[in-house]
Amino acid sequence: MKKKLIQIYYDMRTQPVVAWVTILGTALSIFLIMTVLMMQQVKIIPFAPESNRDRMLYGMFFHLESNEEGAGSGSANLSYNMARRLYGDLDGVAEVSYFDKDPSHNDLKGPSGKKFTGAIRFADDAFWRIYDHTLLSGRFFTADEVAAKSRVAVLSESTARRLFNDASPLGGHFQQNHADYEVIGVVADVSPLASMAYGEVYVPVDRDVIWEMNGLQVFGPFTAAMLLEPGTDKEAVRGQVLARYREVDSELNAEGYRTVYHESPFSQEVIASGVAGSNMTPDVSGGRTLRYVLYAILLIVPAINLSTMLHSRLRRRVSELGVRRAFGCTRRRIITDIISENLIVTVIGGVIGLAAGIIFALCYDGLYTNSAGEAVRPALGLLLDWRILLSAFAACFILNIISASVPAWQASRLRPVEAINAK
Amino acid sequence: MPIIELSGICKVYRTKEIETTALDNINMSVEKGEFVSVMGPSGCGKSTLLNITGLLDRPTAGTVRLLDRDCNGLSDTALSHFRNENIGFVFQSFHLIPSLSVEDNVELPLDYRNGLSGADRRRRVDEVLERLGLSHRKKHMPSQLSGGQCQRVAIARAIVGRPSIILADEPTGNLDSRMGAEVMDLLHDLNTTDGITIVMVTHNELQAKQTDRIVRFFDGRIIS
Repeated sequence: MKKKLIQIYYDMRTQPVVAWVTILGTALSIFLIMTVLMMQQVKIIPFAPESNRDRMLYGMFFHLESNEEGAGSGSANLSYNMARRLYGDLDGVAEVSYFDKDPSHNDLKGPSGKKFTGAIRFADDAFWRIYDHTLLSGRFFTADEVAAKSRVAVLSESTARRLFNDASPLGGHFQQNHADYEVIGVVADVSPLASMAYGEVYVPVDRDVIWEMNGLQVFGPFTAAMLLEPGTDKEAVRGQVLARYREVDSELNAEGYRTVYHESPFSQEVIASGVAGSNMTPDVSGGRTLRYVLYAILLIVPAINLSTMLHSRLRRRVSELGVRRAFGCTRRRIITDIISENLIVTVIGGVIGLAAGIIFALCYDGLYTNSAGEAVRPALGLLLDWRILLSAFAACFILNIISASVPAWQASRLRPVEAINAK
Repeated sequence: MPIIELSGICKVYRTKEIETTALDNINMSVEKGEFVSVMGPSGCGKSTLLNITGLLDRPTAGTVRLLDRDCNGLSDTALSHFRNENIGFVFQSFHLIPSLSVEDNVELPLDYRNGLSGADRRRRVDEVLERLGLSHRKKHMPSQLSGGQCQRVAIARAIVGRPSIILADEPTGNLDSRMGAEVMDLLHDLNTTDGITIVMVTHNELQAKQTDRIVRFFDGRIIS
C-alpha cells in the first residue's frame, strides 16, 4: 500500500497534467453519478422517521369503470371503509395506518401572534407506530382521540417555537384554519423528503370524510400505510389484496361498475419514482432502465478517457514493468497492482467528486422536492448515509475496473525483454 | 554438474520481410560457482543469449536447463517464480525504479516472494545494503546517487533474493574505470564468498580475463 501511494505521488510530480486530469475527471464523473444517485436514493433509503421503508407497502387509489359502454370511469384515493376493507387485517402485516398521504397547507396562529402556513398531517394512532418520530415532550394522540375527532395536535419542534416562542407548548392552544387545537406533544422536525411521515402539525384524521360518486362511498382521502412483519413476501400481500378486490368487484358489479386493479399496494420505490397514479398501473422498470443507462453512460464515457490517461501513465513505466517481470512479478500481479494503484487514484477522485456532490445537493435548490413540488434541501446526515457512501465507492470501483482493465492487461502481456529496453 | 545447460539453442526473429538469426545452435554449459564472461561484437547475440538463459525470452529451438530443471515447458507464471527464486539480473543502465527509494528498490524481488514476513524482508535488505556499503543511502532516491552507487544498488537488488545465478549484461558499461573496478570486485566477491554462478556479458577484455572462462560469440555462434 505504501509503495502504491509513493508511486501515485511520484506520478503526480512527474506527470502532473495527466495525474490531475485523471483525478479531476474521476471527480467529475463521480459528482455526476452521485448527484443522480442521491436524488433517487434519498427517496428510497430508510431514515427516521421512515426507518422501515423497506418493509412498507402503500395501498392507495381506487379505480372504477362503468359496465356501460362509454359511461366513463372514476378514480381517486380511498374512503376509510374501503381502505380498511382492501388492506385491513392482512396476513404478514404488522400494522396499518389510514391517513391522508398529502399534507394540507393551512393557516396557523398561536399565542405568539404570528400567522403562517404550515403542513398539516391528518393521521391516526397507528401512524406513530409505523413511523418512528422522535417525541421530545408530551405524547402522541390515541385511538380514542382519533375516533372522537379530538382537537388535539402534535407539533414539530420548529412549529412549536414559531407558535409559542419560548413558552412551553404542551397544553397550549393554537388555531388551525380558525379551529382551536390543544397541543399534546412535540416531535423533532422531519425532513420533507420523508414524504409520508412529514408534517409540521399532526392532528387526528376524520375517518368520515367521503368523496361520494353516484351514490358509491368508495372514494375519500385515505391511503393505507402498511408495515410488514419482517420477512413477509410483498407479492403474497398483493395476492391477498387482489382476492379482496375480486370480492369488492363482484359487489360493485351489481351496481353497474367493475374495479380496475393496478397492482396496489405499492413499494417505496414506486412511491419514490412518482409513477403511481389513481387510474394507471405503475411501471418502475422504464425509469429504472433509464437510470441504469444514465449510470452506464456516466461511467463508461469518463472511463474511456481515464483509460487513455492510465495508458499514458503506464507508457512511461514500461521499462519498470519489464524489470518487475524479470525479478519475478507474474502477469496476474502486474494486473492487480495496476488496478489497485488505479483504484486509489479513483477513490481520491471519488472523494473529491462525492464531496462536491454533497455540497451541491446542500446548496442548490431544485434537486429535491417534497410531495407538493417545493424545493427541499436534504440534511447532511441523510447524504452521508452508508448506502450512499457505499454506492460512491462502488461507482469508483466500477469506474476503476472499466478504465484500468485494458491497460493493465496490455501491460501484463508485455514481453519482459522488450519492456526492459523500452525507452 | 552444470547449473546452466543450453542445448541447440536457436533464436530467430521474424518480420514480414526478413528473418534474422540471433542465435544459431548454441550449446553451452556453466558449472555451479563458475564466473563466465561472454564477449563478442555488438549484435552478435550475447544479450539474446543472456535473456534466454534468464528465462526472459524463449528460444525458437533448443532446450534450457537451469539447476537441473528443464525450463522449456514452464508456464509464464512458473517462469516468474523460477526467476524470482533463482536468478538475479544486473543491467548495464541499472534499471532502478525511479519512484522507489534505495531500500524499496532492493526489496523488489522479495515483494514477489511468498512466505517472507515484512520484518524478514527488511532484515534481508538491511544485510545486503550493509554488505554493499549502502546503508547510509537506503532512504535516498536513485536520482540522488552516482552511477557506481546505482549499480551497487542494482547488485544489491540482484542478490537480496539469494539466487544461485546472476546474469549481468555489461554491468560496468556505463561506469568509469574506477567504479567499474569496484563493481567487478563486488561480483568477484559474490562469486567466491557466496558461490553464486555469474554469467557476464562484457566488452571489456581486461575484466573478462579476470573471470574463470571467456565464451566468445560471433554472428550468433560460439567461436571459442
